Amino acid sequence: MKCEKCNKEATVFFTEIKQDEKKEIHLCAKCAESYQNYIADPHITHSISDFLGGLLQIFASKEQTELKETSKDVCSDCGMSIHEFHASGRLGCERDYRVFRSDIKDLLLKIHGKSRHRGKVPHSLQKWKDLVDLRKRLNSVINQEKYEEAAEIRDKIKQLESAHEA
Amino acid sequence: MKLSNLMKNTTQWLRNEGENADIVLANRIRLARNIPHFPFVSKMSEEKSVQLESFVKEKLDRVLPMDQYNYFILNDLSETDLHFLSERHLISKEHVRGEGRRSVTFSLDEKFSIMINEEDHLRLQVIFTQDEAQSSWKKLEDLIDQLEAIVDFSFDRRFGYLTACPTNAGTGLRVSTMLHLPALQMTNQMGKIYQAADAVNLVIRGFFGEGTAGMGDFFQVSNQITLGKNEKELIQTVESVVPQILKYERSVRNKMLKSDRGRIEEHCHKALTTIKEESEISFRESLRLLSAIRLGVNLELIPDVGIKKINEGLIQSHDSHLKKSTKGHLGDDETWEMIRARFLQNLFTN
Repeated sequence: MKCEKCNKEATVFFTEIKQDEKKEIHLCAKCAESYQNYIADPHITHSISDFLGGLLQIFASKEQTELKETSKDVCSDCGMSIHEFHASGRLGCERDYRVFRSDIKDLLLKIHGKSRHRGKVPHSLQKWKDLVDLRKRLNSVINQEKYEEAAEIRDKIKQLESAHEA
Repeated sequence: MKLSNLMKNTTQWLRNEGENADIVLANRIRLARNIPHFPFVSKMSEEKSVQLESFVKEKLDRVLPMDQYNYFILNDLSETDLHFLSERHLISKEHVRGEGRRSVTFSLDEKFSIMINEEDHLRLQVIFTQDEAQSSWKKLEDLIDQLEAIVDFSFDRRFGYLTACPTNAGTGLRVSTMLHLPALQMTNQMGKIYQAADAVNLVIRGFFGEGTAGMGDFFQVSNQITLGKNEKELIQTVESVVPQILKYERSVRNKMLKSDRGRIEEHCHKALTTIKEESEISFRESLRLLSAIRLGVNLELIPDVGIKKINEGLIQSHDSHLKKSTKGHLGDDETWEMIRARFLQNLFTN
């Protein structure tokens, strides 16, 4: 997520509530500091929303222009369109991850710096995950020319593969 | 189980009096999960939300020792009760404001809670003190494993566990540590903390209240990313950064004591006097005063007041806690600010 003021990576999130409407404000560390000083300044009388509203509008209009050019897809399960997703930042159902796959992959990369999951997996996929991890380790030890270790890993992979097929 | 029974006790996790209790209020880990074939909550019809709630409830009944858990359907609760649960961090503000059928189950000690139909179908959280870090993650992991043995969760081999907001995808794990950082805030050092956190993909937000970060000098540090690292790595990142922040806060506290002891003493004692004498106190003001007293206690400038008591004040001076304590009744010409002032006076004179 980008800082709404300077477009660097946003790391600080403020929630602003005005007339029961909630708005999340995303800022980088530097802009967050000036924002905090800004809202703490008793001499400033005009509203913070006015100040940030302008910034958000500039940000939103820029994003909409980009979207028109990228995708027209709509999910047939939940009716979510790519425009709606970018406006709300939320998806409508798990199928959206397939419908908007390439947009989401780019977005995940921007948010997390990576787009491949490395954590827990469902029980049914545990063997698959073990195989993926072993193959990754195999490549790494081969690069380090640790051939004895590589042979051991290769045996483990074979064992797992045959158990998987059985 | 009546919600008012909870009033009798401080939430267990705020009873932290162990190591680092001078700065660390509590830690929290939460996991987000969704159930296949149901739309995410923002696209869910009322009917589907009812179906999902009863589907999940039936699974939870099989996994949780329900005699040690409370279960509430949020739609049946009053506005005050909803905010009361949110003030105790058992449900989120988003869950309070949500639409459709929503529910929560939480352990009697209030350490474990599961929100149903919040932003995601399931949000499981554990809140714990510093010395329970290892065991708490293990317990949460056991719980999610037991659930996953009887119910599928939305999962993609590349993207991991799928969540309504892509900022939570992958592990669905958010680990947070709640910190009291008055010295860093007073000396305008928080900018440096933001930058340091940023460098290791952590985010800092205000712990209490909305609109400003750090109201009353209370902050929470959380992982910014949930994808591309495994659960233990994400927890370790926060665990490794927190001690550095504690060290920094303590060194600034010590410097302030050496160079400006008189001013700090005055700052802390003035807060205690205000609490004892003021007839009306707003919530924002109560956080400011409690923060100053908490600092005074930790610097041994204010004797005979326990951290536990201050932590209790932090939760119980919220609006809905005050409303519950008076059963919603206000006397003639009385305001909630007066009730809060009286509550705080009692807390610090007894």
